[in-house]
Amino acid sequence: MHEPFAPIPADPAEALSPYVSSAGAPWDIRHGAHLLRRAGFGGSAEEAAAAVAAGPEAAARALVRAPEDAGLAELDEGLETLLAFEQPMRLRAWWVLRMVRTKAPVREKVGLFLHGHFATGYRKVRSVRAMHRQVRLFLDQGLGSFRSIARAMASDAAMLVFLDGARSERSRPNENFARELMELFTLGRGNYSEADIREAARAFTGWRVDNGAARFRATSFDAKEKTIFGKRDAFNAEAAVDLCVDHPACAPFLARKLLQFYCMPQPPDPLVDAFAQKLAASNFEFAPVLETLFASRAFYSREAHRSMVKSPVDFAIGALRALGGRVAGASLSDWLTAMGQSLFDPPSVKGWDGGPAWIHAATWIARVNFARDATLAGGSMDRELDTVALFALGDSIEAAARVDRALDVLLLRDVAAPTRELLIAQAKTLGAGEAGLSSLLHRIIALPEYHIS
Amino acid sequence: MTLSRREFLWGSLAVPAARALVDPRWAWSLEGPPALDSRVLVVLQLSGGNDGLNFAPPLDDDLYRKARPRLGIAKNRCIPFHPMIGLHPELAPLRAIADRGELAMVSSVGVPKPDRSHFKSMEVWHTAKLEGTEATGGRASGWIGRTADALGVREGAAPAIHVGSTEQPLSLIGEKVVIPSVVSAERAVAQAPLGGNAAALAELASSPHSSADALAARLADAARAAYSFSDRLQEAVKSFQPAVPYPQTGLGRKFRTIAQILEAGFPVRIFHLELDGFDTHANQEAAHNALLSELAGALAAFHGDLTKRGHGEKVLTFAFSEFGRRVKENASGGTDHGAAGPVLLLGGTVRGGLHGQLPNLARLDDGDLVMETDFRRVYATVLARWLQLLPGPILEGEFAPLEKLIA
Repeated sequence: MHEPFAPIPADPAEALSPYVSSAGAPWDIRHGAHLLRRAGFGGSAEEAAAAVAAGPEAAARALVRAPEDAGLAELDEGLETLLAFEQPMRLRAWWVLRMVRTKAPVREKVGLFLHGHFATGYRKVRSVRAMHRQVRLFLDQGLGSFRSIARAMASDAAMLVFLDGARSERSRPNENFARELMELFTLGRGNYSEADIREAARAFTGWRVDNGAARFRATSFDAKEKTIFGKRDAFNAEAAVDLCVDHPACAPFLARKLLQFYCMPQPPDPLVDAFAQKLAASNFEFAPVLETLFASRAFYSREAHRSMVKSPVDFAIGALRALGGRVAGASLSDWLTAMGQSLFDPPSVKGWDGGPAWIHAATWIARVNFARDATLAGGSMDRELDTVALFALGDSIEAAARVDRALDVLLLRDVAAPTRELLIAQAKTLGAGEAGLSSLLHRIIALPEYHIS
Repeated sequence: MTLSRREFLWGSLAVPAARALVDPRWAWSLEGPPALDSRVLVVLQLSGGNDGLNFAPPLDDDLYRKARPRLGIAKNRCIPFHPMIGLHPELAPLRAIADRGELAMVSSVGVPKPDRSHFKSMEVWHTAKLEGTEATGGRASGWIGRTADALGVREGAAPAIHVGSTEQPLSLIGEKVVIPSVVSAERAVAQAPLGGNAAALAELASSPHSSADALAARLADAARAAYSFSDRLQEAVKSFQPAVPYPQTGLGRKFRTIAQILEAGFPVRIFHLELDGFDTHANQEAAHNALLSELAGALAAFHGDLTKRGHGEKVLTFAFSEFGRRVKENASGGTDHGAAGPVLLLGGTVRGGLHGQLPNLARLDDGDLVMETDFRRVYATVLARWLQLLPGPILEGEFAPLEKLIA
């Protein structure tokens, strides 16, 4: 078998150059599947085949530049009622259904990145309206400018409650937001002083939250001069955010985080620096740098391919997008909670750490029981799916063909030969009817291999 | 039975001064004894602010009668517990446990500088920090989460479990370990695929992986451990025969789930569960009666079941509420948010009876009972004396454990 995933080039410029298919390392369905999993939440075998046909650059471009999916507006019906009642469960259902249905998954994925980055939790915010507004901003503008998003966070109602900006007064500035802005949102430790935090906190005063909406009161804003990073002026919130984004540590900090989310757990420093330069050159616009990344040799390197444990969202949404069919959002988000990822409720402002920590006994059982629920009609998620049509094989074929088709459907070409043999042996006992095919899909989604991205 | 290493190690209880997070004498646990050979802590959160004064009424205090003309519990209706303090009549199921000296109450536990907001108070109890999340913002962690971090994942199982379907309380958030939520033991068992059994899934997880797939090998190990727990849990669910029937209440079912998980031998050291509804601003009597009946019925069943099966001394249940209620009843037949209140400890090697200072109704702070015991000293007690962990690093401060509360 060819090993199409070559080591990452040592030269970072080369690593970020477009992947080129060659006889030794042909661009194939595994690349297409990798792209769908990482840029979005996986997809169908047909979508993967389309990406292969388009080639690395065109496939990346099509994904990143996909227009907003107007069909998602349907999910906004009844949103006002949802927001009027404090029901975070229904808000979770709203977002997971967007993820399952969208034709522009890159937007939802970048929204998830930003939700984890600016991790704000309903646990403290206690306003569905404020949480919705924040995540809506991530979804609508996440592919745009990080600078605008970071500026918006300084006056975002959910953030003001979560990091205590709403109780910050000119006479008694609260430092939480200023601290996390520097430490977790833009710079990382070691790139600012306690004095910078204290001074910046003054620039973020003046905000209150009423009924889930932020209001500025000039009388409680500290309009005097502040010294931040050695610069002295009467900075306001926007200016203080800009000072952070323009700080030389911001681009590398953000570049590393993006690479860790989309590409590999431990990106080499030269790659981080080269990616940071692109980020700064694009004035922190995400779309162009993601398009570069999703076509790059680094993205399709041996170090990146299958280097990450799927988050519960990646796992569950990916399986459902591969299988198709109707799903009930509330039960789906309950499953995510059981797997350890409750949307709108990240464990802390650091977001989800993820990685192998996702998996332990209880979360693994939740994953495999979800797999059963997802592959059967009915069930707790009120599923409607047609496995016979999904396989499109007729019923007279061999168990081996059913297994191979199921692996293709689930975008899993990375199963070792003995495991495939074992699946075939099990498939022989199952038959080619609806129940047998569902059972086969359940077993494959329960393979440890399936939980790797 | 010969003296086991555990009993030997538990023989001396002085906490060494070393700053190591886990008490070194606890290192045996890495060898992985079954869970019921380890001490287990069950934390029960009574959400909304339990009325501690009616929970444990003063027996001969005129100030209590005056403050509670409608809601006060008459002395002759109280369950005997202590010469000065009785128990609410709905706590009758706990009487036998109290009589055997297996029920302890610490009176007047609270927060220095109390806050009457549910949210703020709960945050303080959860984080074990007086400023709540105010100092650390969204990065705040909870005392149980930090305890779970100190215990670490063992044999692929998290050291703590949240029993319930509501969102996890802040107390369970740590830095490292993800604490799972379990709705019921049945739902924590791997379901068999159609046309086969769960062993088929375990068999697939045991198949060799491609050598290029290093992560798959790691996940397969975790999966096999999970299936082995699932098998044990399924056996436990099937064979589970409680020595005492559990009430068919929400709390009864949660305690039954804990008993099943313990039966399966999971190395879980801490369970967390919640009973909500204690915010009794109006028509308190009926609501509080129902809550205390649910509470006492479930606690009595759980403790009775464990005791009859020989595990009563291995499981300590600790119940708290974010605050007590105002001493004076309000005009709606209810009580408003207050301050200090009692905490309950049951089972384990607890020394029964009343601990701490009696509530003093003659010396109130803005109408509220005054805190006599800092809640963090109770945490320090269960951490040091029960779980045998050094409380300082977990509570991020030094608090003296209460003497003579746990044997």
